[in-house]
Amino acid sequence: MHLTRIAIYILIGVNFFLCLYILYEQRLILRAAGKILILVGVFILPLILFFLTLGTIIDSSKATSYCLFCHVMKPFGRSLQATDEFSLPAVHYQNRLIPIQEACYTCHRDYSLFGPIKDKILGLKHIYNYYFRKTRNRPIKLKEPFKNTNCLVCHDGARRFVENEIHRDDNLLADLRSGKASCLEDGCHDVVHLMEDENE
Amino acid sequence: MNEKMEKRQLVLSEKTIRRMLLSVFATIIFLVEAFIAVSWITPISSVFFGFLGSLTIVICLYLYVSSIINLLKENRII
Repeated sequence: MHLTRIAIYILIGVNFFLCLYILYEQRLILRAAGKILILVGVFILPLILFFLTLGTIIDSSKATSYCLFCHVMKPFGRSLQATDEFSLPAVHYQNRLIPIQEACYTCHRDYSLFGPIKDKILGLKHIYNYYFRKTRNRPIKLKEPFKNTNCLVCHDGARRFVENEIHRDDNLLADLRSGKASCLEDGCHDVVHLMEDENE
Repeated sequence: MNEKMEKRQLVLSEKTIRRMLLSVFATIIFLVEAFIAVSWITPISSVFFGFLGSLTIVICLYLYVSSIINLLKENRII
């Protein structure tokens, strides 16, 4: 088990017994030591626990299993097992070019400073739209074109990338870096998630 | 000198005790939510417990701070 989770469970236990003691000894507030105990049990420990729990949940939400928990995402998960050698997600996943525990997050995260926070807000919007705006029957597609940054954050400067004839074109490289050209949509790497019917 | 050294006995009203106890109860509820949230992480549970946990911790801290302010006011410390 993750060390942070063990720490959280221990803190929850300590805080729980502290709360029970405060309930049992209600006049603790009259004593100096009691005041400190109440401050720790009702203010400091819950605040620490709140941030620790929040951090753990945010960290765990990067997991591939977390993304694929929603049944609408399951076909995308299965596409990682596609046998097509041109399917980018499958090649990355099967050759372990990305960490398989965080496969979705590695390619789809926003690499800007506040990117992870924006991603969380976007995730909340997805859940809201799915349950309250009845968008569940619409096909799933990216809200905006896939950013080259997500590819270049790993590939830019890598030997295989630099030695490729096409990538040696300085104009193309500049366009890729500035976002004028797209890695996925300009006819080069356009085979992305292969759904089952496409794979057959 | 002795008068200055003498410790002042704090007066505790029902309202202060009630708020303090409510903040303890809110803390216990928060702890249960935190336990479930950490043990069972799914998209829906993390949204649900994230919202509920934030709400509970705000209530808990509000009750605690208001009980302390109440205590200080009743004893004419502030």
